[in-house]
Amino acid sequence: MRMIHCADLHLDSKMSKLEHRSRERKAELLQTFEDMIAFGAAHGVDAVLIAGDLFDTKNVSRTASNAVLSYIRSNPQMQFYYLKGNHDNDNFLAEVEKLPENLHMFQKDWSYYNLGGITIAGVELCAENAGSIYHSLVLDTSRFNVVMLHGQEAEAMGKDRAEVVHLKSLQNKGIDYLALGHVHSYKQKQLDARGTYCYPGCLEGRGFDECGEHGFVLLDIDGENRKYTHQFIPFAKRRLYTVEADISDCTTSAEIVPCISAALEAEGCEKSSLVKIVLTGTVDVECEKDLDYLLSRFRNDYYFVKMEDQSRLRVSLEDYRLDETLKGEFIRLVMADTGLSEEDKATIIRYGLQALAGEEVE
Amino acid sequence: MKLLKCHVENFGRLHDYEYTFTEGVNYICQDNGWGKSTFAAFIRAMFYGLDGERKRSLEENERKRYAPWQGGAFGGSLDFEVQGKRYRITRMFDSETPFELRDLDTNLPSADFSEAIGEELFGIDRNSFLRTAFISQRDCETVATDDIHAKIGNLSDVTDDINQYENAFERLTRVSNELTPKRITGSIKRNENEITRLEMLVNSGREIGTSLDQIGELLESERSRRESLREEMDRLSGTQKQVAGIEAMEAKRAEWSRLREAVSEKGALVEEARSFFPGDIPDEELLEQYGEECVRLEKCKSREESLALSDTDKTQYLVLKRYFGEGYPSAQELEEKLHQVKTLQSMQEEILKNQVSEADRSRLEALKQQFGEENPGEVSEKTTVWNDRNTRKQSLGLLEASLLSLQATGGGNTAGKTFLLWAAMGGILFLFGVIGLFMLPTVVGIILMVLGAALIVFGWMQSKKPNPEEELRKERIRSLELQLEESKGFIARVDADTEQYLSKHGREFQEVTVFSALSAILEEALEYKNLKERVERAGNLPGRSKMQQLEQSIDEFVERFRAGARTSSYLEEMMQIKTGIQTFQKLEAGEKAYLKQKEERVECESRIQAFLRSLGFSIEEDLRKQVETIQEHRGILQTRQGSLNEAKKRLEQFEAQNDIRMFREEIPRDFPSLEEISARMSACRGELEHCTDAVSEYISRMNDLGVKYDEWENQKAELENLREIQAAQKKKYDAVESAKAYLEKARENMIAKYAKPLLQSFTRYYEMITGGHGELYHMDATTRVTYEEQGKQRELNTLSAGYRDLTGVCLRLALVDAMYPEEKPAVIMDDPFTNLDDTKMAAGKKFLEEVGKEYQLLYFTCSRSRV
Repeated sequence: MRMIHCADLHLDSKMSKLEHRSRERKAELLQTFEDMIAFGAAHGVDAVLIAGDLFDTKNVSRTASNAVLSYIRSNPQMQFYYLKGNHDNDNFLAEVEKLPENLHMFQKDWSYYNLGGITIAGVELCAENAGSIYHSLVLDTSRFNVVMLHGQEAEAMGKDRAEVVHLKSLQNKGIDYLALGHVHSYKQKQLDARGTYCYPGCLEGRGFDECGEHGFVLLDIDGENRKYTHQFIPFAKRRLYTVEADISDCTTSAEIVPCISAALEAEGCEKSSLVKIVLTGTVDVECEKDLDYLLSRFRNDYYFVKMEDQSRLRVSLEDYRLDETLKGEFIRLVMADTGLSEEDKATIIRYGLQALAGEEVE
Repeated sequence: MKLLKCHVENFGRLHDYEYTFTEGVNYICQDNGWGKSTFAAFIRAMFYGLDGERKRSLEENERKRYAPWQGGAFGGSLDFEVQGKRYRITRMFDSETPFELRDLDTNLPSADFSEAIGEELFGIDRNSFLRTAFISQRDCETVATDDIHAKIGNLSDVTDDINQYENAFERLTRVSNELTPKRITGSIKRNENEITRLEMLVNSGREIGTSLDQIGELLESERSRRESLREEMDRLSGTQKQVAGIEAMEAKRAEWSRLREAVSEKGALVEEARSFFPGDIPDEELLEQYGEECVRLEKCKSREESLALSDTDKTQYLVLKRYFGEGYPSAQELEEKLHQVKTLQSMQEEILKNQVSEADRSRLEALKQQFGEENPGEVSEKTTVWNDRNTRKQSLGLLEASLLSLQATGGGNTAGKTFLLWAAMGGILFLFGVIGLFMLPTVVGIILMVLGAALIVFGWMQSKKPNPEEELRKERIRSLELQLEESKGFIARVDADTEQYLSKHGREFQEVTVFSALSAILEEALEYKNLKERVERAGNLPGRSKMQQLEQSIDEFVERFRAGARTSSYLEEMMQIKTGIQTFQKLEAGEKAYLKQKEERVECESRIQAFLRSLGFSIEEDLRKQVETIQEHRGILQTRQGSLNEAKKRLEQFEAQNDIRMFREEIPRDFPSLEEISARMSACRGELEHCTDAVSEYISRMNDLGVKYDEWENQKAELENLREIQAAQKKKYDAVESAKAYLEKARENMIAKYAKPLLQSFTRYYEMITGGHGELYHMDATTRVTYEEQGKQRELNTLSAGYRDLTGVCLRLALVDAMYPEEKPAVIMDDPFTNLDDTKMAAGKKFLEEVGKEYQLLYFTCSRSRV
């Protein structure tokens, strides 16, 4: 029996921080989901486990709703086990008269589905059942048991926290594979002597907090002998990178450009990537640093580029000690103020110097 | 710096004005309206050019304000000395090269200073110059500009940063204003408002998600209920089908019974219909055929009646048959005989027409005596000639009249008259000439005589010329006379000839009766001709024997075929024979047709009767009706047989489709009735409808809430984004404000360094003018001067105008002292002491003398008292 374990697809996610690319990325999320199902069809997958957060919003668009139902209906040979996550609700099925026969849902108490020698159990976590589900789970240990949950793994049981999966309480329950969702990066660990737990991560990265590889898990299960193989399949259409560029000692934007280029090259970002360039290091307070120019310099090199300046300003008081100019007097005054942080001093001096130089204050 | 000389070409009202400056104080005392302020402005314009060239106001636009009153080149030149070198500035404001600087020692163009010589020389801009070295009567008070501060601090040569203070401060202020949380124009303030609005929206929209979940649960519940109701409907539907099956079986059993009864009933009806027929059932087509035969019989009878001859026709037919029964002439024979009749009639008419009487013969003889062998056309010719003779005779009168007329118009001697006229005039002249020989000079008499003789000769020559009209007239007279003679001869000849002809035919010649006599002779000639022709034709007529043969042949024919009494006309007899034949032919044809039709009818009747007998029926009088009755009964039998067959077929089909054995089994009676099931289903359906409505409503509400939730999520994201922006902007705002504060403080620190020496210089000048105590005055870091009175510092504007002017002049000179520690500029004073009283004016003069020791001073005034 072959299965796909995926989660946190977050279809219909707005991704407004991706600015002009947000709508296109929204469409790409849906496309990747379709591609994953096509992959399953091409590779003889029997079941798809969706461990929560299929959608990102309570108001699912008709496009996404229709597309998902269409993918499911057009692959009747595959069984879809959809466990709702904290972002999901039933809205996308609101106008469906009759659920597709190959779509199987879960409730607030345990649901069990048998597929050959495999039992698939799952429950939708909520505040009401957060403490009780661990006692009510009953599995036939002679079968290969897959349990689906959506929540954050935790060692201790939290109060009133619906999205928490208490791993210890699930140990020694006869679970062979704990199919989890909620964490957006891939993770697989041993649950107990018998089973493992796994977060497949999200299918596509949506923001720069979701950098790295994304995809789903492909399982080949021998139900009779209770054995399985597990493989993470990188499947995201695009990858997100956060690239730090050290611009220390640069004095102009022109000098900063090669630093960024070198950092990007070292990271090996593909042209189709979404890249966040973070400027780091320390530069002189009088350093000419034009972020708009720097962004425009790299904007066309990748699918999406964002720039963040985390570099610090360095002010050398010694340089201005004997400077009898207004600028020298100004810097000496700011630096003498003990009530200011070093960062604030640098910012104030930078603004003052920009104003004196007739530059834009930014 | 020292001014040497200036030349004003044209500048305002000044024209071709030259002034040589001396060291120390240069008093320029002129009356009001001379142009002192204009002269001062000229010196300023030489260094700084014209100001406010783009301004509309005349006051502000120096190009307009100082345009030459009397026209001409606009500008002039100024010689000055600085750092030991002498220069000449030439500015012609209307010229293509408005500025020129020459080294006075070499008279070569100098590049030591550019067009901005004012700024380069004094290190201050026009504004600063106006506030220091140029002191006008209206503007003694001054404040230090950045240029002044820079100059005072001696810093402008090494750095421009303090010059940029105002720009930098303004730039920071602009950024601060753009960000400020204090005004609505500031983005922080605007963001605050927007954040507040979004927070309200986000807070108020938090329940949307919960509502969405709740409605989702309600929807799920309704959908479950709907599912249950659908299952109940399915179950009821199953029971309904079962009950309906039992009822259907009962209905089928009843149907089976009904079908069997129907077969039995219809069999009896068929037997009843069959009993009408004594023998076999006739074939339908055969019956149809004899039905048509009966129709034909009816037609035969009808035609037979119509063809039978009437009694009259029958009698006539029998009579005609006697004459024509054995045969009758053909149409050709009849035509030939008719032709003979017409030939006979023609011959008889010809004989009758050409008969000649004795009177006609006597007359013919008489006419023969009269005319003999004369051509009958002769009398016609005579008549024609006579008519011609009459015409000519009528025209004789006209010819004679014309002749007389022509003869009357001729005969005058015109030539003679002409000669007489000329001869008379010549004679008179000749006579006067003769008289002149005696009474006038002889020559004159001779000339008159010659002229008279000449006129006489001329008249004679004129009379001898020929006349064409006269010749023509004579020619016509001759012609008319000839015609007249010829006509008279012709008339005489015709009269003689006619008289002879009439005499031949026994008639007398009289001119008036000639024509009627000729006409009578012509009629007699024609009568003679006709009579001769008739006599000739009468001799050529056919003989009587031929006519008798014809009459005999016709009589025989008529005797043979003519029925009835004879008439006198052969032609009429022939026509009656022809009519008789035609009538006989028509009657004979009618009789034959009648007999044929009768024979056909009898045959038809025989066939029908034979058919009926073959079916075992007795023959009735109306065969057609009998056959139709048989057809009707056969139809009834056939219909009933069809019904019976149909009933049997339905029964067979029913029995084939149903197991008739189960119709004998008992039916269970413990099911609810169909009505009960239907009522329960109806109730379920009602609930299902409500349930479906509720589902639709929930879906609709979810859609509405979904849109709102979308908006709420957008607002939440917008709020989050705005908060980030706000935090960044606040941070920036605080930093900008701090930068402003530190920059201002730095500037004050810089200014404070030279404020003290400036105040010392001010105090020195003040005491020089007023003799008072300068320590009462104070100066802050911005060079703002205050004075102390009654233990309190007060602004200068609270002083009297005189003191304000004095303190202003002192401050200006203090600034100049500070600004130019080495190279002193010329100081221009445009009557600054107008507000001073006499006491202060004396001090003012002393002040000028003292200042003049250190500075070259240009003092403009209109009052000698201030010199």
